[in-house]
Amino acid sequence: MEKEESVIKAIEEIASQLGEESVLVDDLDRSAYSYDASGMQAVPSAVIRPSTADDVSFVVEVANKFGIPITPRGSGTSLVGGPLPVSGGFVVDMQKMNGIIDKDEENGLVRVEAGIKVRELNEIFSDRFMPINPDGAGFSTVGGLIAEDSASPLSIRYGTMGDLLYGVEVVLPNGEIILVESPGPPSRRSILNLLVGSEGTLGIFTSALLKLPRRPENRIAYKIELTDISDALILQEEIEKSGIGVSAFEVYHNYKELVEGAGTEAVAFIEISGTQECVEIWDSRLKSILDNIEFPFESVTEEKADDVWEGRKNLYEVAKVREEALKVVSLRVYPSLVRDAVQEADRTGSRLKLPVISVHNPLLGWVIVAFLYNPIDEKEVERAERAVSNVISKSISLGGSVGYGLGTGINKITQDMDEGFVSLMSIIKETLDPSWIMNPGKLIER
Amino acid sequence: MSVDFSDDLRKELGRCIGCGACNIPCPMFHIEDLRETEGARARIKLLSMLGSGKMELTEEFLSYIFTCMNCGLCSKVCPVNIDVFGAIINARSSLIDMGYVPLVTVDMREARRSTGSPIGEGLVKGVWLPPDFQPSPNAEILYFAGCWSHTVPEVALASYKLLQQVSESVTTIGFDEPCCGGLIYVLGERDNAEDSKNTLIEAISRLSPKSVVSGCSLCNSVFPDLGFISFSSFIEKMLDEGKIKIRRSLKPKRNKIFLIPSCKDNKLASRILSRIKNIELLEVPEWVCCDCGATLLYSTDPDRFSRWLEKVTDIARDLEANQIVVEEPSCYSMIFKALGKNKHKGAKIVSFPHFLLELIT
Repeated sequence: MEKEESVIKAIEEIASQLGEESVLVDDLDRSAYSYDASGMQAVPSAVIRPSTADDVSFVVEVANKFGIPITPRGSGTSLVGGPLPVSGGFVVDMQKMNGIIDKDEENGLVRVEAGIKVRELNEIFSDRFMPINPDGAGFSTVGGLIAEDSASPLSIRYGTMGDLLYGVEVVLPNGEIILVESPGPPSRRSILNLLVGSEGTLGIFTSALLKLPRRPENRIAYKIELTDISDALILQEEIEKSGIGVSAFEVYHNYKELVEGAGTEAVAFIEISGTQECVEIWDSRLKSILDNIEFPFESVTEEKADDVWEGRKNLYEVAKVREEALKVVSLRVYPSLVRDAVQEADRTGSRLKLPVISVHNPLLGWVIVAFLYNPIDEKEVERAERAVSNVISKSISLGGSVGYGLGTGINKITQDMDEGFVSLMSIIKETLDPSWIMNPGKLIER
Repeated sequence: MSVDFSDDLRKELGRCIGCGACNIPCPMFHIEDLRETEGARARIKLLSMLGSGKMELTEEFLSYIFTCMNCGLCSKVCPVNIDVFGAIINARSSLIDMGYVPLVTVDMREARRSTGSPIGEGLVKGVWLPPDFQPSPNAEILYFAGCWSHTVPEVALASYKLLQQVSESVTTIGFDEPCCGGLIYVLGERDNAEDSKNTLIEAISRLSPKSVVSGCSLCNSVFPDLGFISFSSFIEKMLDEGKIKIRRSLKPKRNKIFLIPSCKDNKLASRILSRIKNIELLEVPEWVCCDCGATLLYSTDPDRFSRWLEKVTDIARDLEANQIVVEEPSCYSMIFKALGKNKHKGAKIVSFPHFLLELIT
């Protein structure tokens, strides 16, 4: 493909400032930056690998001058195409900016470059941790997690990525480097929330100040067999009433059937954690609830709790056992509608002849739907894509929102989903990024 | 050029969910500054694009597919159980079957044809043995040195001496020891690899030893059916059974050890070393393995191997290591060749068998 003259000129300018080795233009490199974990693909004109915020700023200025789209990228683990350059242009690979700038152990604060991975952050303090993405291998970058305002099963207790964020350095679409950080902890008037979850459309994060919570002393994890999706709702109600401090709660629907061929309809994973006294009280309360409603369960403590955490990888386990690929969509509905959302996903699956598994967090109303498909059957790939858009539109008609915990990416928020958000966001976008060069094709449509 | 992969291979490649787990232990990914292209995920994704006609096969692409570290660490971490390295090997062998032989492997193929070993470069086997050495039949232990050990005779000799501590009845094939075929297998040459393996099996069965201890762990990981036991596994077993004992401890200024483990089992050697009383075993990143597969890189792209070496020895220096112990003879041989000495950045570089021999005898 012949590159446009402006692209060639921009590449030359960037290469002369950042060095040839920081600008990748050959076919292998461009193809290697054309995917993420969404199953979709878009090939950039070039990949830029900055080492400093000044580098990022320079790249953004040049891109702006020539009107070339730029898409920031962390580890490329997005399930929704966040780092895919759907309008072409440059991908900015942030992984080289992966250092720890400073830390304050007393207050659990750590300032890091945006390209650092969760797993590295979790190694910094032994008694504190980053509870986002705690169960996967933790290779998402901090910048990516802020951009998508990522969640995890622990979000019931710790919130989403935005809740751990105390400040951020961002390169705006005009190349300006701004530090968004209060002198103390963030106040209620924080403008940080505008940037959190903006999916790379308002700027590129270069560093972040995070507050890491303490790792609880004691943990107990439970695996509970449920006969039906309604059981999860009963369980949720009982837990809320009893005031048990649940730190994680997830229900896998269709899991056993898909993995083992038969069995209960749903499996729930719950974790409680805290001081020993708390955990003992909550444990006995939870056990009496489970005994009363006669749900079979097993519970494990401390290190063995990790084995139950492995359960969350079971979304992958399904793909592993069935040797198929996955298409994933994330929704959030009011708890009373969780059952409807899950049933809607089931119906979509059976209509399009695709096995479906849903993972939901009853306390948050968070539902992740995954369709299994044969990756080399083109018709099936197309059906899987159709299934995802179907679930999105059904969820909207139910009164749900899209993208919690993962971002919306190329699925985008439309007027009929959230008119107010789209109107205001468009004004902000026009103000900060009048040429729409920052990650176009994501979050909202121009 | 387009390719025609089997449906099974296309499906295996297409199942990749793109999570990037395989990049984490991938030495190539870390040496090349986390550049996506160099990681295991890109190799799988790009092969998948090649198989579905989204990319064209070029000489550069071909060379890319054939030149990773070949450690196989990527296969151990996939959450959806794709045998990442196995899929890469399958793709390589399909490409070779289709007639696409990469230029980067030509020297190795030629060396194998003319000398019987892909290492080439005038490899003379058995220089560590007495000139009149004759293998003994029916020995308790047959030491299969493997091509790489012959390039560093002191390592082969140290291994042999260690085995002699265990049993009086130790032998080896000697000057005409055949190649196991492991390396050419991972480079996609299945038929030739099978021929090599069969020649080796014949040579061993003529001597009918009770057990075979292999100096290099590549052959038994590629061909478990050979029934070899790796040198490190054997040593661990002998220590467990009390047949050998670690008698000495390390000198105070020599006890901070940075181990470059075998990628086939990266815990084994550290388990053995942790038995040494005053040892301080430094924590090594999971992507640091001794990479028998870098052979090809070394011969075609020595700069890349040097970058790996610099990166690894930088970590060792930052941890203030005073000895770098290298488990596999292949890795030790390449490091030695690249540096031309066995001291670098304040640390002494020593092979695992040599290191153990000094503490055991």
